[in-house]
Amino acid sequence: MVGESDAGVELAGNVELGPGADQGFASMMAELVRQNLQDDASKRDDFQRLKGRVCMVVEDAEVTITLAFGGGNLRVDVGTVGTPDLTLRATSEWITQMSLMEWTSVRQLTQNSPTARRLSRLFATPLKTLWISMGPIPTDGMARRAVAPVVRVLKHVDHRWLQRRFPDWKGQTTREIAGATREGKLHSHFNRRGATMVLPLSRLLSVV
Amino acid sequence: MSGHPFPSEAWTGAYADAVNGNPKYREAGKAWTHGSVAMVIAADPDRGLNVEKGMILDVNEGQCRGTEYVTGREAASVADFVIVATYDDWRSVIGGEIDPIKGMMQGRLKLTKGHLPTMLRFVESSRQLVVSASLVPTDFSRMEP
Repeated sequence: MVGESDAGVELAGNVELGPGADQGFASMMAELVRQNLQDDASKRDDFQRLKGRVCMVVEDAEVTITLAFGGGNLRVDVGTVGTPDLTLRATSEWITQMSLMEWTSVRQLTQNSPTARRLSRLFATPLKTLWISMGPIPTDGMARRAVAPVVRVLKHVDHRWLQRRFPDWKGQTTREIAGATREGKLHSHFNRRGATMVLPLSRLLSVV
Repeated sequence: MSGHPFPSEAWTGAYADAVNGNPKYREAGKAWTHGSVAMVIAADPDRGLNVEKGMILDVNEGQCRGTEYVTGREAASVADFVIVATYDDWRSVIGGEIDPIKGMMQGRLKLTKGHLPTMLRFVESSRQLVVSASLVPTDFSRMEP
């Protein structure tokens, strides 16, 4: 649906622009969300779950916008509107880089043999601990062999939790973003609700 | 300063050479198969630009296969991606004074046609197109009517 009102311009169903937000960064973010929702069904889940206000400050461009999510709707306003649950502050370069972060999923990890072996080792440790409490002392190899079939089964299980994406810490951009955060080039402030928004928001805005 | 008038057919042709001579663009744009890009200068009668002028780059896999200098938004809209800005803003972009993405965030450059997520995915490629533009000998005091 496209239409204009005093409250702003409605872009497409559930993404709405506040007054004066029809250009620049505000309009870019609205368009990015709209196109990502069209292109990728998994982003629709994240969009539905997001609830709260995100303030994005692009320091070098001297632009601030507020994204207000709730009930499968988004309103984008210029400036800070309301009390943000999550504030992201960085230069235009880092804000753009955030959309380029690499992602992976448990399913993807199990498709990769070395990573699957690593997962087996990871799951084997708690199993070994449990095993010790029950009787004979197992070897690492025994524990890994016991867990390996589970990891193999994960490869073939089609569950959305296994497909849910999380940052791939091996990715170059993801590492650069982590470095920028440590060096204070990318600031984020959040309350409890904002903390739960970080991952779904990053997935929603991702273009990779 | 001697150079090609901006905008002009000659400048657009020289831009293609600059793009093809930029190894960083070749690398960054290697995966680009999403179509042509048009840089459109908004009409500005005070400057003698009564209609919009467009420079269309047929870019593919890190190469510029051809260019077209067109008049009017409609003619430029045959491109898959259309970016519109004023003469002064294009001048600032070409001069390296503003980064294209920062310019878009500030509303100085507008993507009026094209898939924004794709554009963002190739942000380095866009930067290298701008770097290539800065290498074209340009005479900003003249423009082709």
